[in-house]
Order: sequence, then structure tokens, then C-alpha cells
Amino acid sequence: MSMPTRTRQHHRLRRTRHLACVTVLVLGAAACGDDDKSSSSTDTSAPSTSEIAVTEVWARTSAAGQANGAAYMVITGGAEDDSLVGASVDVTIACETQLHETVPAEEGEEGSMTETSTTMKTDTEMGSDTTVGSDTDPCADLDDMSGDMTTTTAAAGSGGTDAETDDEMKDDEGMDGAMTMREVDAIDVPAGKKVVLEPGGYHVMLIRLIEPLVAGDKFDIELEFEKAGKQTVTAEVRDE
Amino acid sequence: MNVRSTVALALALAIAALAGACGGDESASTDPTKKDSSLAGIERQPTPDVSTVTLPDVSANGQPFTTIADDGELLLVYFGYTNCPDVCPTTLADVRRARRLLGDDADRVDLAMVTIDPARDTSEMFPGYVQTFVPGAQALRTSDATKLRAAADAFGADYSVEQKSDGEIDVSHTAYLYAVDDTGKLVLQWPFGISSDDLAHDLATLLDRQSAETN
Repeated sequence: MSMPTRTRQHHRLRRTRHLACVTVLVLGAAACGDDDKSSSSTDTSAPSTSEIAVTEVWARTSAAGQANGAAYMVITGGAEDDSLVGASVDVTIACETQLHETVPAEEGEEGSMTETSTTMKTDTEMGSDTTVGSDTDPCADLDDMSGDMTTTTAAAGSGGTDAETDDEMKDDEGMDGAMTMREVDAIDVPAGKKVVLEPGGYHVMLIRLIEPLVAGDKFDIELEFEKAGKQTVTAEVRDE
Repeated sequence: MNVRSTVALALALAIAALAGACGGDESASTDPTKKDSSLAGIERQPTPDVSTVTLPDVSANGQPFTTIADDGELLLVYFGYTNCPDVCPTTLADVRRARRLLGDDADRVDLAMVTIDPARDTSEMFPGYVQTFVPGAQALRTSDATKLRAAADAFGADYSVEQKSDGEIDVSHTAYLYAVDDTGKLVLQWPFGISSDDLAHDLATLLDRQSAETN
């Protein structure tokens, strides 16, 4: 598959600036169960010929006691290059939603994967606290654990520079299936190209599931594209 | 596809190719018990011996459990943790699916998951988690860090659980799934991303081998 290198770099520069507001957007939307499609400010350049198509949206059934889940899908780019910059689910599904990526680990541990877990931003700074029932808020304990907890992971924490990506690639050589997982600010959706969110790669991480995900259940995920705006898709819970 | 995903895929393919998994995928998917002796997993040389690894099984009130399969059976061993959103459930779900593909032989494949995050994976909740994937599976948990490290070393597994200054918990762990025979030998291991079809095929092959040796 060809790598649109210049496009990616371009996106990354913009992503850095968008990081803060995207996060707020994701949390805000999750907290409010926001369905509104009023993304007119971002879709002025919406493609007129073909739109982004999202198919095969699914999440695995959750095991007993499993705190976090993941949703997967296939995104086919529209008429122009775009990127997925956020995702959210209703508060009845999970406390928070993030875009994540499982990638080869940097440190070369044999066959190991690094995953960051139980991450939760304090809601006070996000202003979403008021939209969640205070007495029965299943996410409240996360808020109480640490007011300073952050979702910032390796990428953003180390600067998330473009140069870092290339260095990592070189370091990865010769490693035996070792991977790491981290939050990403955006997932490129090149025009007309398929981007697959799948186990071991990109996924929409559902942090602190409210109820177990049961086979056959369906739930909505609101995707936020940088240019095309919001699109709500329905995930099917599968026992696979 | 992202740069890193490409690398991951390339690595996975390289591993699969090295292990001789290039052929027979389709036939394996239609009949996982097909008598094709090539294995998708990795056979280590020399074969590690894990028959001395004993950990408390919190699904049985903490009774000591030794990582040896029952006679004529196989024991799958996985080092992971329940807060894991992507790789652990993916691997364990593949085990579940592979066991279904094995049909009647499913009962000859057991699972023991070792938690590398005993602080959060409590004795109360951990058995339920692992038994979601395989009924009757062992939930191995020790809060003795030395013992856990020794167990992982025997398998060649590695892990770390670090709480960073901002409260975030970073967990890393070996993503291999291990197969142990009824003598406590680590006969095969699979990297993350192995298909449940290949897994089922390998398990059927290993079970056949084991039966042939005992007969």
C-alpha cells in the first residue's frame, strides 16, 4: 500500500493543534449523547461526488469483569483526503472513547505489547460532569482516583513529532512481534482508500464499559472527521 | 495503512512465513483438524520445560496449579491482564473460537491465564473473566512479585506494570500464547494475530502427536 507521506506530515502538523479541542469534543459528545449533525463549520469543503463510507462496524463481546472494550470498522475515504479525529459513544455504553492504535513496541521486548489502561481525564476541566447523573455515575470513581489523570500517552507525551515516527520504524526492525498501544489524535482517511480498524491495529477504545457488551446488541458510535464532519454509525456486538 | 501498522503487518507476516504458515490456510479454515503436520506456531529449540511452574489458581480458592496439561491434553497459557482492551480479548476470543472449531476435542484443550496485573485483577473478578472465554479455565494469580517473575521467565515471557507520575498505568506484556503438553513441555507458541483457524489446526495436530506418543 502506498504511503502518502507528504499528506500525512501535513495532517500531523494540523493534528497537534487540534488535539485539545478534539479531546473536548469527544468527551463532550460522549457525555451529552450528542446527536446533532450541525457540523457546518467543518464541512464546507465536503465532497460533492462521494462521501466517506463506514462499514463492518463491530465490537467484541466483553468478558466478565472486562473494564475496557474496543470497536472496529472499515472506513472508505471520500472524494478528498480526510482524517478521523474523534469518536464518541453514549454514556450508557462507556465512560470515555479514544482512538487507539496497537503498534510495534519501541523498546524491543520480545513479543510484548504495551497498553495504557484505565485512563480517564478529570471531568471538571472538561465540563461534562454536570451532564452525568451524580449519584449513580459509574465513571465517578475514575474521576475521584486522580484529578490529574490524563489520557496523554507516548505519542503526545514525547512530543509526537513527525521525526519520531521514522526513528521508531528503524528501531522496530528485527523485533519479534512486539507491539505497543497508544492513543492517536487522528487516523488518516485518504481519498478513495480503505482504512481498516481491526484487532492489533487501529481501534476505537471504549474506556470503562457501563454494561457488558452482549452478542447481538447494537450501539451507535459518532465519528468525527476533520473535513466531512460527524457521522453516526452503528456497531454490532459480535461473539468472535 | 499507517506506517506502524505496516511494520506490524510485515513483522507478523515475516513471523508467519518463518513458521511455515504460508500454505494451507484455506484448507485449515474448512477443516481445522486436517492432517497437515506443518504448524503455524513457533516451535522453540530446545523445548522449554515449564513443569516446575506452580501458581495459585484463584478459580479454585488459590490451590496451587502446575502448568502441565492433563494426560493426553494440551494446556494453553497466556500472560495478560483484564484491563487490556485489544490484544488480550482478541487472543482469548481466538482461543474460544479455535476450541469451537475443534469440536469434540475442545475438552482436551484447557486454558490458564496468568495475570501480570494482580493489583487490579482481583481474586474475586479474575476467574470470571478468563472463564468467559474457556469454561473451567484456570485463573493464576500471585501477588508475590518474585514468584510471578520466575513463572514468566520459565515461559520466556516478559511484562511490566508501571504507574506513571500522572496516575496513568502502563502495562506491557508478552503477547505470545503458549501451548504446554502433558509432560510440561512448552511445545508451541503463537504470536499475536494468529487466526483461530490456524490455532485450531495447530492444536489438532499437537493433540494427534500427543496421542501417537502415548499409544
